[in-house]
Amino acid sequence: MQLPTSLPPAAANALPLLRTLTLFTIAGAAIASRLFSVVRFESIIHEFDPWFNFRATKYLVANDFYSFLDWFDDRTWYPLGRVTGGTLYPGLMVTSALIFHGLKALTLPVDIRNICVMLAPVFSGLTAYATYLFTREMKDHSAGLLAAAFIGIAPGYISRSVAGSYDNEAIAITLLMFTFYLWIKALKLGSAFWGALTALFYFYMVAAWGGYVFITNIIPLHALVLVIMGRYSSRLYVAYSSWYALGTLASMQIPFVGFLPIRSSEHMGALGVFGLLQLVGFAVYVRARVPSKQFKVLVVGSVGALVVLGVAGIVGLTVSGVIAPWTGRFYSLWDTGYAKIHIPIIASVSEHQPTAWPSFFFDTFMLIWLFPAGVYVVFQELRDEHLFVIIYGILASYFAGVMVRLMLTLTPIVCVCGAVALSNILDIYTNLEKPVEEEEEKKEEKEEASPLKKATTSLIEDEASILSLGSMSKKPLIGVYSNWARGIVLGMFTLYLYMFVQHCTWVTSNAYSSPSVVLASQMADGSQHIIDDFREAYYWLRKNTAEDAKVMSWWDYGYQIGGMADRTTLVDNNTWNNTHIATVGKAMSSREEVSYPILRKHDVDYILVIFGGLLGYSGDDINKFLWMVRIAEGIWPEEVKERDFFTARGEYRVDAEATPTMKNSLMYKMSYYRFADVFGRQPAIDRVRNQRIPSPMQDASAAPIELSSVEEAFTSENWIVRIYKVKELDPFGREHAAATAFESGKKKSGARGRTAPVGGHAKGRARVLRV
Amino acid sequence: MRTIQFCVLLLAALFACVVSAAPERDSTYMDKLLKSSSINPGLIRLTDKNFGDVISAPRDYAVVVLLTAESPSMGCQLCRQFAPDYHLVAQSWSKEHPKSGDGLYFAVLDFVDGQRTFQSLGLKTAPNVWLYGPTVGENAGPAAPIVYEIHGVVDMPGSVARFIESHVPGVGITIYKPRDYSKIGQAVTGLVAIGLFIRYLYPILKPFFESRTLWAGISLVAILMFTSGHMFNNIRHTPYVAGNKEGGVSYVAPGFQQQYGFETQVVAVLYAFLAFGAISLSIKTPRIKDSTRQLLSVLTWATIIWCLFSALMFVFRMKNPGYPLSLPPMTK
Amino acid sequence: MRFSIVASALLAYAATVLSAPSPSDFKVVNMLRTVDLMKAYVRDSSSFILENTSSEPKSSFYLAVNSSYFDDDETTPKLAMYEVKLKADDASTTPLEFEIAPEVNEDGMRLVEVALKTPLEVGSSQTIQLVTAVVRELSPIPKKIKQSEPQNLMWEGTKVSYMPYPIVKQRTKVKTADRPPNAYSKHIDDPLVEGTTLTYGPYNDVEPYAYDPILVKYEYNIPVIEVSKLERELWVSHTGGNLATEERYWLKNAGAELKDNFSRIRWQASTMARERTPALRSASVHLRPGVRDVYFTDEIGNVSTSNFRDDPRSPIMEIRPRYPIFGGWNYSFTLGWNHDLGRSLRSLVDSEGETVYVLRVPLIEGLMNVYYNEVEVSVVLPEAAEILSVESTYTDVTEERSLLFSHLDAVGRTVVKLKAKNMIDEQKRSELYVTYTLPSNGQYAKPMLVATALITVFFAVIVLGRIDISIGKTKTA
Repeated sequence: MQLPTSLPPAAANALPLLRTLTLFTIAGAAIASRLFSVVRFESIIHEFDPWFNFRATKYLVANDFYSFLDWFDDRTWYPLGRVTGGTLYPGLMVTSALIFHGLKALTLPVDIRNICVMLAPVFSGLTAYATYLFTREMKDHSAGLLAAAFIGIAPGYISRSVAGSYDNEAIAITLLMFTFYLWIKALKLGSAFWGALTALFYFYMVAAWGGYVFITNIIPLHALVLVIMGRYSSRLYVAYSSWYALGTLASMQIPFVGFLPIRSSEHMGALGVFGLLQLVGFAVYVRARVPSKQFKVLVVGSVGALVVLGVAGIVGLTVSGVIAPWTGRFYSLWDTGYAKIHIPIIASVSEHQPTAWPSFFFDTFMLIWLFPAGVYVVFQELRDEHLFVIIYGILASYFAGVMVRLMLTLTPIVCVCGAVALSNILDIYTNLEKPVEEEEEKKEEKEEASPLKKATTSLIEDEASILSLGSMSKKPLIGVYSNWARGIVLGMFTLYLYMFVQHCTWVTSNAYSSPSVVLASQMADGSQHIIDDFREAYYWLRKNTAEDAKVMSWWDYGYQIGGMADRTTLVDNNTWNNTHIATVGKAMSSREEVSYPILRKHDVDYILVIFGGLLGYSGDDINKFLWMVRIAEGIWPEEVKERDFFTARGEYRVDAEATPTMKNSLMYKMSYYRFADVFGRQPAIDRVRNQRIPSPMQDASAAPIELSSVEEAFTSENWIVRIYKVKELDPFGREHAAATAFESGKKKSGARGRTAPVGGHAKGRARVLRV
Repeated sequence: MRTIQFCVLLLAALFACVVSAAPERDSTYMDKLLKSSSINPGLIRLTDKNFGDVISAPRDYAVVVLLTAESPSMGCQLCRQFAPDYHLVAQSWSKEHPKSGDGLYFAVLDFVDGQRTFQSLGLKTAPNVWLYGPTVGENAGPAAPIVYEIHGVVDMPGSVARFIESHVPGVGITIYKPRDYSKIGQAVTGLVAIGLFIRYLYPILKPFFESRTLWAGISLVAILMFTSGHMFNNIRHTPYVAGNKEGGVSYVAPGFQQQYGFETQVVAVLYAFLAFGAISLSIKTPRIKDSTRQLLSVLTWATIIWCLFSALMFVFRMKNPGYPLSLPPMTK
Repeated sequence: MRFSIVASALLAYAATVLSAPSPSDFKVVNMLRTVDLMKAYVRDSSSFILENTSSEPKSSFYLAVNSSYFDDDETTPKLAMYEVKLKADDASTTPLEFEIAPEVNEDGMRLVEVALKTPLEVGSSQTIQLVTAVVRELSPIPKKIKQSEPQNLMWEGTKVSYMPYPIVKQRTKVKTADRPPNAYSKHIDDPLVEGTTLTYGPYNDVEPYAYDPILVKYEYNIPVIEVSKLERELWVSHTGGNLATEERYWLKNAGAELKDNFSRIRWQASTMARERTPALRSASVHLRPGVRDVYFTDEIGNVSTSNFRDDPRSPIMEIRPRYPIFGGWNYSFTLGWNHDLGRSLRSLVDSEGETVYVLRVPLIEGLMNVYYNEVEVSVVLPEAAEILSVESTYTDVTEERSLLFSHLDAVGRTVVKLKAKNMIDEQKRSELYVTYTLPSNGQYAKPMLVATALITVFFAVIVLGRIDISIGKTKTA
């Protein structure tokens, strides 16, 4: 509903400039609000996956593009190695490599690390612009600007795009919004040019993120709905066909995608709709040309039959296995129990858990309730592009509900709808001209209303149909009478907007700006203290171990070790080989005698474990231990049993009551080795699990933990990272246990004598990332 | 009269002889049991009386016994969870070996029919799966049972099958998931119904089904449902409310990653009203002709939005005490 | 004190062929030699009175250096410093020129011919000071120690200096760090031990080329830090009026290696007890006054465990490596800071009225008690600067020049790179002078370039904006 704007022409001319300025300001705000971590800590790559992307980017910058595509990485997944070039989405790396070379050509040598760190914020600025364009297509400029502002600072998006979180999502959302904008544009204009552009960005998206499947399915769905609602048009035909044909061909150029678009069922929907459109197009064409009634019926019927055949064909191929049936992550979105049973690794990742309601509010504040309002407003005049918003809205909110990480795809549409709803309100309540109230004048108007007006009113009289265009509500828009109403509503929403900014700032600074590599903690006196154990240990590995040393750790730390310690790892966050991970799990969860042969077989030189017991860092390996056990049990159900790690009462304990299996497992030993000594005569408390570790100094009954086949090589300042060296085979061919027993027998209580107890370790708990 | 009694006695005696005179159990006896007293296909229901006989030492067959307490009175959650999986395994076996067990039998002894056995075996917990391997024949093993660990296995039937295969040589169990014909039936009827509907009812209900308000309503409901954490409840089977330490009822789950059914409903309602408030402010009220009525409705909706939003933040602060923002009246 | 091994060797060859030293030419009266073992390297300084006992005035005399200091199998020679000075009566010293002979005599020594400024009259005498520093001469005994054990170093030397002339009287003092040596070669009542000093001698009427070894084993609980490479980069910016310095270190603890493994709990205990340890826990870097925004990073980012004390006279950067550096462990880090350019830049107008800039910076700064195997100092001058001269008080350097493009440069900026081998922290005092001019024409290149670039972009946008690429009429929804 466009309200008459009485602007002097000069002002009207100034508007575009004003918009540009606003957009730039918004982009600036978007970037600035993502720099908390840089200001507070430093310009550093965050978390886990980004470290791999960073490493890959450095490789790409060092070598040329093709050698990057055939990059076989022998420093991960030892001894298997990984065909890295063929198993990643190169979009991100290529983007930053291009930026890097571009700047270099401008003789602006910027460190590649800084480019990677700043990539996400910069692209979030672009996202704001894309969202502006998209929303403008839905409503108008003002809504567009609002949406841009929202997406610029909405925590749901910031969570994956703060400076340093150098992950695929960082650029993917930008591309997502651009692709959608271009699709809408193509649909409106029915131009192959815009369709091709859509395909181009779709290709970029495919190159950048696995989530492209979302686009691959939502655009066909939109098209399908349009067809069903009888809104088929040549515009739709042109837009869709050009997008699908070009986009699919382009996407197949990505090595990692290859022939999926014609082999996997995630892509079949798009194919089917493509076929359907051809048939419908044909039918419409013929119907327009052919006179005889029967023949029309025949054509329509045959088309229908063809559709049925096509569907049957696809189903048949799927069943026969030519088309890969729904599996893996995507399937686990529909069959929510699937992952837990069949893919424990996926289930074990925290960001694949379902979303509790606070996350929604946390990530989008008031937008979460403006969102439905916006959808309703969009229902008012149900243009083709509005259907897209509705479909997107419903689907995305379902997915976001199933998987926390998909809040990311929900946030943009929430911002768009919120902006539409809010700008709608603002339009009405900022329009200052008073409507005339006299009833009789209205009547007279009704009398001498133009025939067109009559028509519209008559149309409005009966219930607005889903199929028809145009306004939904019966009564005509009048406007607001009293300035009080204006004042109240505007005031209220201005306040909300202000609070929105407050909220976003607070959330960003508290929850989303910690680079989990460096932890911030409070000292006893409340002063900020930086805990840098990870880098301490990684750097030690980097500097003081052999170039080709093999480091075994749980897969979470694979990428970081590769990136920071630059050493060969057995498993990492690219969890492509379950068995290999299970092997590590088994080695960690078995007795030394069982583990040692495994370690030898895999040439492991060092084992790295994360232990938070001293500091109260909850994300440590003992807490992840059960997953190691489960995954190992999946392969060796006879040798590793989760049950054995629970006490008779089914509790998971690490103190004196821990089960023998637990106490003898390599992981337990390596975590608590000489832990009790820190506390001397005081009780040794594990600050994460709040349990008391048996301390030999306290009661003689507790035997000190002895390691025979591995030896402590390094332990970081707060004991978070502990590195153990795997011993060589004993020169006299003895069992390691025997050898150590012999040694310790030789020098009586040598170990005990040397340990001077270190008193009060006054460190606060590391702050949990998510407040 | 006498004769009849006599005959009965005689028969009883004979039967007794048969039973007692067969010291070594062979599968024929089990097959009998299988026919006589099987609750589900391929699953023998044991009692205190015949339990001893079934597992008595010299036997040429393997028998898997589920010692459980499924009666609701016992309140053994795990037992009731485990039962169907176990039945499925038994069923799959009997599917391949109809009417005779072929040396492997599945039995269940519920606490209700087997209290004495439970006591004699000194069982405190349930359910337990015990496997008695054959003691005679080419793959004879010890008489003592092998215990199966139930805890925390993802794919129960599969693991049970693997367990049996690993301990009874020469046995291969393939699990047959029973095809759920009811579903197919539903599907078919559904399709037919839709067909008929389109053919006959649709023209009548057309305006209704094409009403935009309806579809808008559906979409809004769906969105509200998802955004208020309904899927979480679905997947995690969260309780509606939960008891707290003081024995009272707590409606709001502590912690950011947790929630109860109740609070999600509250939140959904809050969202709904807020959204509707926004809608009426933007669409309904500016269409009201009478100025005073318009002003009134604006005021009402504004207050509603204000209060509910403050309430929403209040609930959120309960989940996340560190949260700084709040609106009157519900500050605290 | 100017010597350049290769070049001087050739000259020396010629010299020595002509004149070999004859013992009767001079005699050394009263020689006092001090061997300083308190640092990571051996500092050996001796002063003696040289008397001409020949028949004619002498314009040069000879000294000797152990040829093993020049080993070629070593990456760098061990001899880090060799200075001969003439000491006047008023205690003022003047450096003397010298040349080292290439060939080695049967005692494994190489002769050094020192030229006197003024010939030494018959019978008259002069006081000579000799200062040498030798790195990698101290060997840990034993090679590997436990974390809790003290570190012992062994020095091997001679009681009397190796001289081509008779020595009338010599005393040799050996100074060790905070503790008296726990083992040393001794003869009946020789040496005399007072505190941490051993005094050998006096020895009277020593024959020329006499050789009498000493072994001293002493406890040294201080890290022996060997900087295998130091890259030092100074950016001169006239526009910013700033001199940015960045130093990249690759270092190694060359002391006794760590036996067994590192035990954190033991380490915490020793930290609590403030024990002295041969492991490098932290190091303090003395910086020049007026230093700004100091940073301490390494290959994986900022190292938070550092602490800058901004003392106006001598600001100190207290750096703590990520982990204690035990014997045999490596570490590498980057240290950087800013200075106002004014402090180290002088501008003066030369004869043609063109302003000439003189940049005066220390050749090396940074760590105390270390020695460097390889040092690279590069000075990046502002864009279009033309170098007039590069002078360094430490002269054993090789110089390279190159061109660097950065920050939208049009003509590029000149980079002077000086490479030196084998320095010691004591050589901090040596300085580097770069004289250059800034031709004004070079100054406008960059702004012009940028401006034109921007203008072209704008025009391109305007033009492209006007072009209509649509095919036929597009009908809108």
